[in-house]
Amino acid sequence: MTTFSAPVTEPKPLPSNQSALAASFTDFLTVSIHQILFLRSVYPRATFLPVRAYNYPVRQSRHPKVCDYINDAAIAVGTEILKGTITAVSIIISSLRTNQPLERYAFDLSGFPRVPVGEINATFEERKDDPSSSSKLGVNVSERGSAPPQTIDLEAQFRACLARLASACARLTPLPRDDEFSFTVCIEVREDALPPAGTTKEEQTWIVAEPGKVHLRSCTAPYSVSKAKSADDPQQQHQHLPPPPPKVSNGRAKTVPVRRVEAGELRLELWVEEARQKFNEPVD
Amino acid sequence: MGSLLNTKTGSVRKRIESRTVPSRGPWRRALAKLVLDTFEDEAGEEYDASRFGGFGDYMRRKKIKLQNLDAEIRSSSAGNPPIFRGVVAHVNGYTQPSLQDLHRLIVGHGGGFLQYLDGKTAATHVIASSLTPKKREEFRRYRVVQPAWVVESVRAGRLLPWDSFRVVDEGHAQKVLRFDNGRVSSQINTNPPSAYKTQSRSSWYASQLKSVDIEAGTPSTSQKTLENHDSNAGANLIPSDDIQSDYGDFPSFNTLDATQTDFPVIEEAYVPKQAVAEIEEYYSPPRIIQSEPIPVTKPDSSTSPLPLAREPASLKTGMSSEEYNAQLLSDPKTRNTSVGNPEFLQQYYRESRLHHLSTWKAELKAQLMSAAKEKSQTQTSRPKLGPGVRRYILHVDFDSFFAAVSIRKHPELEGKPVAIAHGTGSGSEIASCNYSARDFGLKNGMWMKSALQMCPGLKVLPYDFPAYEDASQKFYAAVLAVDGVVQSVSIDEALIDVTGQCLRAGGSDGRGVSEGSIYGEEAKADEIAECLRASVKEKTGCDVSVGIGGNILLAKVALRRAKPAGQFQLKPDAVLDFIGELTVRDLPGVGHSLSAKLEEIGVKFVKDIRTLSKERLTSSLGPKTGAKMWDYARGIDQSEVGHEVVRKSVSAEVNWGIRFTNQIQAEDFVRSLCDELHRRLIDNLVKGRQLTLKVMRRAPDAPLEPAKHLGHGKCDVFNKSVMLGVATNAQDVIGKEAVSMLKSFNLSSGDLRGLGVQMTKLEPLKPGPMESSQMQLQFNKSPARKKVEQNIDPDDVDSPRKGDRHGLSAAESSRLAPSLNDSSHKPLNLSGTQFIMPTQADPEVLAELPGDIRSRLISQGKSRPDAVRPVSPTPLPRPRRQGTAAPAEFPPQSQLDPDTLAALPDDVRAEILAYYDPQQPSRPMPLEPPHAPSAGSLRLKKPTTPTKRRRGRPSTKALGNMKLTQSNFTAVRPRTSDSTTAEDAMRPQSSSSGHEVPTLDASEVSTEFLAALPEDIRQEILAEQRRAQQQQRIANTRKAPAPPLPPQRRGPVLPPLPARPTFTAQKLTQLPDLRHAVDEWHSAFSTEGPFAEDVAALSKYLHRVIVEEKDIDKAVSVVNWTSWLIGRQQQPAEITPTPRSSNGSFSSSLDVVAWDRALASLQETVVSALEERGLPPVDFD
Repeated sequence: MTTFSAPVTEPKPLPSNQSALAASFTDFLTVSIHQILFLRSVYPRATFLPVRAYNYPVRQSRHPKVCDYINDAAIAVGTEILKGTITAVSIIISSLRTNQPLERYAFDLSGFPRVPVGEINATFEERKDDPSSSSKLGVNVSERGSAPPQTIDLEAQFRACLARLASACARLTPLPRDDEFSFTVCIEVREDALPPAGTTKEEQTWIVAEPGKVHLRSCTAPYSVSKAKSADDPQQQHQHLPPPPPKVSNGRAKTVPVRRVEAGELRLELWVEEARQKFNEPVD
Repeated sequence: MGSLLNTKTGSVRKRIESRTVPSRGPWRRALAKLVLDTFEDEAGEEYDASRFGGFGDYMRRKKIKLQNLDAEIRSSSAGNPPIFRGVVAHVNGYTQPSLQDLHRLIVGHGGGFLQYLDGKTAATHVIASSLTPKKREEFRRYRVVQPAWVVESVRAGRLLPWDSFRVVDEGHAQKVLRFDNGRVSSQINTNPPSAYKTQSRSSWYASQLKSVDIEAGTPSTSQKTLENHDSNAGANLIPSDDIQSDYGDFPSFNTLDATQTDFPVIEEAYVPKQAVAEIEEYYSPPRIIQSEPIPVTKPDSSTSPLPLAREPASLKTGMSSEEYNAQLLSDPKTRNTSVGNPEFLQQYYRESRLHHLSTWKAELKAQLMSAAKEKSQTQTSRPKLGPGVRRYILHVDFDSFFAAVSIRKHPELEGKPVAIAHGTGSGSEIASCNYSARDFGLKNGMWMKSALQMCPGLKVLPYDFPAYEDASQKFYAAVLAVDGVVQSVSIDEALIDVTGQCLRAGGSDGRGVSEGSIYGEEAKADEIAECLRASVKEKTGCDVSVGIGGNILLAKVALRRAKPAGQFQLKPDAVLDFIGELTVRDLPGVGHSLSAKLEEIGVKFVKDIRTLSKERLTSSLGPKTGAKMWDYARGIDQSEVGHEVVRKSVSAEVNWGIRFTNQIQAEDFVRSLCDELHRRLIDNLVKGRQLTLKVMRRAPDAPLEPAKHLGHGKCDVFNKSVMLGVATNAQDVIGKEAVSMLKSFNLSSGDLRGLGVQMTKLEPLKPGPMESSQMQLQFNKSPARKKVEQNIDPDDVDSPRKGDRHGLSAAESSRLAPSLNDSSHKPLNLSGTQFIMPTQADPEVLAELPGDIRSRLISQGKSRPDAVRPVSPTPLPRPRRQGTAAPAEFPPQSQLDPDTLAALPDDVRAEILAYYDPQQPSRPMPLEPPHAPSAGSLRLKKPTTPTKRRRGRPSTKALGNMKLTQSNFTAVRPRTSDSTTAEDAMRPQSSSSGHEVPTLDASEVSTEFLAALPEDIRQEILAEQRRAQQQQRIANTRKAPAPPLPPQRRGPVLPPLPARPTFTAQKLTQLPDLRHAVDEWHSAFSTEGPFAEDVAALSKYLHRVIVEEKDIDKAVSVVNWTSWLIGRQQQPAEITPTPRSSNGSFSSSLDVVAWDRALASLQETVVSALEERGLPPVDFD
C-alpha cells in the first residue's frame, strides 16, 4: 500500500458480480477495522503503520495477530456475503473492565443483492425497471436526469467514507481513559437465514453473540452472530445469544451517521453508535 | 536523403572539407607548422590564448584543432580513394575497430569525423556496435551503422550502402522490401542478431583463433569467406552509375581496378595490425559471419603446444580450471572418455551401470504390468480386503545379486570374497560383493582401493549383464507364480502381498483375533516364503531372503534379519520391540540427511522417535516426512503392495567425465542432454511443464582432479527451475531453456562436474499427433475482402451498390448471405474459457456442472444478451452518411427465419419487423443484417468478435449488436417543463413516482472483453455505452413487482430496486438539491412561517430516507441545514435589528417560533425514524 506515487488511473469498474462485490466490501471492511482501531485507540497508536488505502491515508495495525484476526474476520464476512444471508456487519468496541460494548460501527449491507450461491461469479443482470411503470410514468424526467451520468468511482466512495469516518470519530465522546478495550466483529443475518454458527470447532467461524455484549440497542435482525475476540486473548470466545433482546431505553446512547455508499450494486450505510454504558449510565 | 538529416551536415561538411583543400587559408600553413613543430607559431585563431571568460570558446577551438589534425591525416593519405567524401561520421560507444582506427579509416578516405556530436544532424552517420535502448530510440531516425560498414567500404573501395549495416532496425512492424534477383518482395523485418554477439564472433580474439586454425592447416572458414568475397567482388564489376550510394550528389569513385591494387597498400600503410584482422573478418558480409560455425578451440593433440601431462602434481598451481581441463583433454584417451568426445553421451549411457539398471527396471515394470494383467484376466478377482485386516507381505531379495550371479559362472570362487566392479583399478567402485567379502568389512559402493586394503585376496569380477538379466527374469517368474499381488522394487527384489492366500489358510476374515487362525495364517506365510526361496534357488542357483511382515515397512525390516539366505517373519506382537531396537538408519527411506536431522533432535533408535510428538517431528522434518517417521516408529505403513508410484519426473543427468574447456562445449553438452531428456520423455509418453537444471560445480576447496578418474569429486550443487508455460517435450524448447539457465548460473565452465536436466510436473502425452496441448487460435485470412465473388461480405449485402434486394430470388439471397459454415466467419472465443455455452443449453446439464463453471457459462451466455437474437458474426457495417432506405440494409424480409422471429421476445420482434415497415423511412441506427440461423442446427453460437476493424478507424459501433435490445428502452418520453414555483414544489407528492437510477451498466459489455481491447477503442465503447445508458434511464416505481423472468435469462437477475424516496414533485434525491429546495422553501416562508403540510411532507420524506433509503446522514444533514437556515435568519434579527415596524418584528418573532417548531418536528421525525430502525438518536448541531 505504500507506493510513492499515486498515478491517476481510470476508476476501476464497479463490481459486476457477487464475488467481486464481496471482495470489494471485505477489502473496505479490513481497511475500516484497522482505521477504527486506530482512531479509537483500541491499541496503542504507536502500533499502527501509516499506509494508504484507496489513496487515502489510513493506519494499519502492525500486530500480526490483530492483522490475522481482521483478515480472518473479513474473509468470514466475505463468505457470508456470498451466501447472501448477511444484512449488517458491525465492529463493536467494548470495555475490558466491564465487558460492556461502548461503541458500535455498523455497516448496513441490506442493500446488497442476493444471488444464488451458484451464480456468484456471474455478472449481474442490469436491474430492469418495470417497463409498465416506466411508460406509465413518462413524466418528469427532470433536466438533471438528462445530464451525463457521473461515473461512480468506488475508490472515491470508499475514500469519502473513510474521511467521514475519521470526522465522525472525532465527534464521538472519548472512550474512558482508565480502561482497556477490545473489539469484536459481529454480523447480522437475515431473518429467514440460518445462523452460520457451526457445530464443530473447525467450522465454527461465527458464534452466537450474547446480546448484552453486542447490542447497544436492538438490531433489525433477530440473530446476531459475533466473531469474538478480546485484545489479550487471541482465543475466540464462544457466546450464545437468544433471539431479539428486549427493547431497552436509549439513555444517552447516540447515533452518529457516517455515510452511505451507492456504487452500482454495492450499497451500504455506515454509522456509529455510542452506548449508554460509555456515559456510565446504568444498564437496565 | 531527407532534409531533416542534412540540416546541419551540410555546414559541417563544408567546414571540414574546407580544411582538406591544401591551398587555402592560414590555418593550413599553421597546420603544416603544427606538424613540424607544435609549439611554435600557431597562426590560427584557435591557437590563441583563451580570453578571460572565454570558456565557450574552448570547445569550439578544441573541435577546430581536432579538425586540423584530421586535415593532416587527409593530406598524408592522398592516395586513398576518398570514398567517404560527404560522410561526417561520429562514433558512439565501444566499437571493434577502435575509435582511433575508425577515425583514421574515415578521415583517410576523405570523410569527416566528429569527436563531439553537437546535434544529431551534425553527423551523417553514427557508427556504433550497439545502442542502449534510450539511444536506440533517440537515433531511430538517423543513420546508425555498424563499424563494419567503414571497414567493408574501405575494403570494397567504394561507399557501400549503409542500409545493410544498420544498427537500428525499423522495427518488426515495418515490412522491408527485399530485392532479390530482380524480384521485389515484401517481408517482415527480421530482427538482426544481437550486435554484441556479432561483435564477439567477429572480434579480434575470434579472428586470432581463426588464424590459429589457419596455421594449423584446417580448412578455414575465413578463407572460405575470402574466396566467397572474391567471387562477390567479381560480380561487383558494374558500371559506376549503378553503384549504390546514398550520396548521389557525390561522384562515386569507380576505379575498381585502382582500388583493387591500392588496397593492400592502404592496409599496410594506415591500418594497424588489429584492424587488418578486423578487415579480414569483415571481408565477408556480416550475415555470413553470423552463420559461420562458432570457432571453437579444440587444441589438437598433434599441434597442441601444451605438454601431454597427465600427472596433476606437475601442474602449475595458478592454472585455471579451463586450462587444466584443456590439458587433461589433450590426452586422447581421456578425451575419448570425457565430454570432449562428441559420442560421449551415447557412450556414457551405454556403459553406465546405473543407467543400465534404471532402464532395465523400466522394462521390467512394463513386463510385470503385462504379466499382472494377464494374471488378472485369468484369475477371478481377488476378494476385496477391507481396512483393518491383517496382512501378510513378503519382501523377497537376492543376496548380493550381482556377486551371486557372477559367482555361478566361477564355481571355484564359492566362499571366497568376491566383488563386482568395472575393474581392479583403484578408482573403480564396488557394485556388489558377496557375504564372505562383507565379512572383511567391505560394502557396496566402496572404492576398490580401500577394499583391496581391507581384503587383499578379493576377487574382482566384471559385470555380466546378460546373466543378471536372465537371473532376474527367472526370479520374477518364480515370484509371479506365487498367488498374490506383486510389486517389483528393483531387478532383484520384489514385494508380494499374500494376504489372500494366508487368510484362506487361516480360515478367517482377518479381523477377529482367534489364536488358531492367526497361527495358521502365519504358518502359511512362512510356507509360501519357503517355497519361493526353494524355487528361486532351483531356477537361478542363488539364494534369496524373505522378510515377512504385516505391511511393507515390516517386511522390509524383517528382511534385514532374514539375510543372508533366510527368512524371517515379524509377528504383530513383536513389531514394536523389534522396530524400536533398530537405528533410524535401518528404516527404509531414511538416508544420511534424514538420520542426521533426526540425530539433531536426539533420535538414534526408532524407539526414540516414539517419545517425540508428531508436531515436533513435522516441525523438524516437514509435514510428510514427519508424519511418516511417526508412523514408522509405530510399525505403521499405509502404502500398499502393487500400488505403482506414478512417475513424477523424468531426468537425464551426467556427472562423470564432465570436463569442459569452454562455455560453448558446456552449452552443447546441455543441449545434447536435453535431447536425451526429450527421448526419455517420449519413451515415458509424458511431457512436462517444469524444467530443472542441476549443476554440480567443483567445490572451491576440491582439487582439480578428484579421486575417481573423471568423477565429480566434491561438489556444490546448484539447481534452477523454470516453469514452461505449456507442457512440452520439444527438444529445442528444453534445450534453449536449459542453456539459458546454465548461462544464468555464470559458472566457470571448467569447474562444471555434473549436469542434469529434469522435467517435472508431468502430463501424459495424448495419443495422436505429438503437438502442444495448448489450443491454438487459427487466424484465418480476413474474410471475404479478397473474394467478394465467392463469399459476399455482409458489408456488401447491405451496400447500396447491390441495388434492390427485393428482386433477388430466395435462393440467390441465401447464397449471398454469409455462410455460417464458412470458417472465415468463425468467431473468436472471447470469454476466456474453452467452454462455449450452447445456445440451448440443457438446464439439467447446466445444473450438474460445478458452480464456477456454471456461472462462467452463464455470464458467457449473457454476453450475448439475447441468445436467439439474430447476430451475425461478421463485422459491422460502417455507419453510412446518407440515409439509405431501410430495406437496402437488411436482408429481405423473406429471408428471416419465422421460427427465429417467433422465438424472439415480442418487443424485439416488433422492432425488427418495424424495420421492414415501409412507413418508417429512417431509423436511429444502422443495424447489422439479422442473420437467420438454420433451424435445428446444432451450431454452437459463440460470442462474436465485434471489433473487426474496418478501414483503419476503430468502429464506435463495435458493440452495435446489442442495440436491438437497447433500443427497446430508448423510448422517447415526453418532457414536461418543471415550471414549478417553490410553493408547488412543496406540495407533497403522494403518488407513486419514479426517479432516476443512474446505474453504470457493466453487464452489457463483459469486462474481460473490454480489458482485451486497446485503450482507445475501449474509451469509445464506454462512451457509446454511456450515451446509450443515458437514453435508457427510465423512471422506477416503488411498487414494481419483480417481472417474471424470461426463460433465456441466465445471470442472477436482481429485483428492481425499491424506488428511492423522493422529495417534492421534482423528485429530488441528492443532498445538494434537497438543500436548495429547503433553502427556497425557507426563504419563501421566512417571514410567515412554514405551512404545516410542508413540514409534514418533509418529515415524511426524511422518515423514508432513514427507514427505506437508509441514509441517516442525508436526513440529518437536511435537518441540520434547516436548522442553520433558521439560525441565520434569527441572528440578524437579534444582533442588528433592522428598522422594521414593531408589527414586522412581531411577525418575525412569530415565524421564528413557527420555524423552530418545524425544526423540532423534523428532528423528532428523524429520531423516531432512527428508533424504528432500532438505533439511538442522533445529536443535531
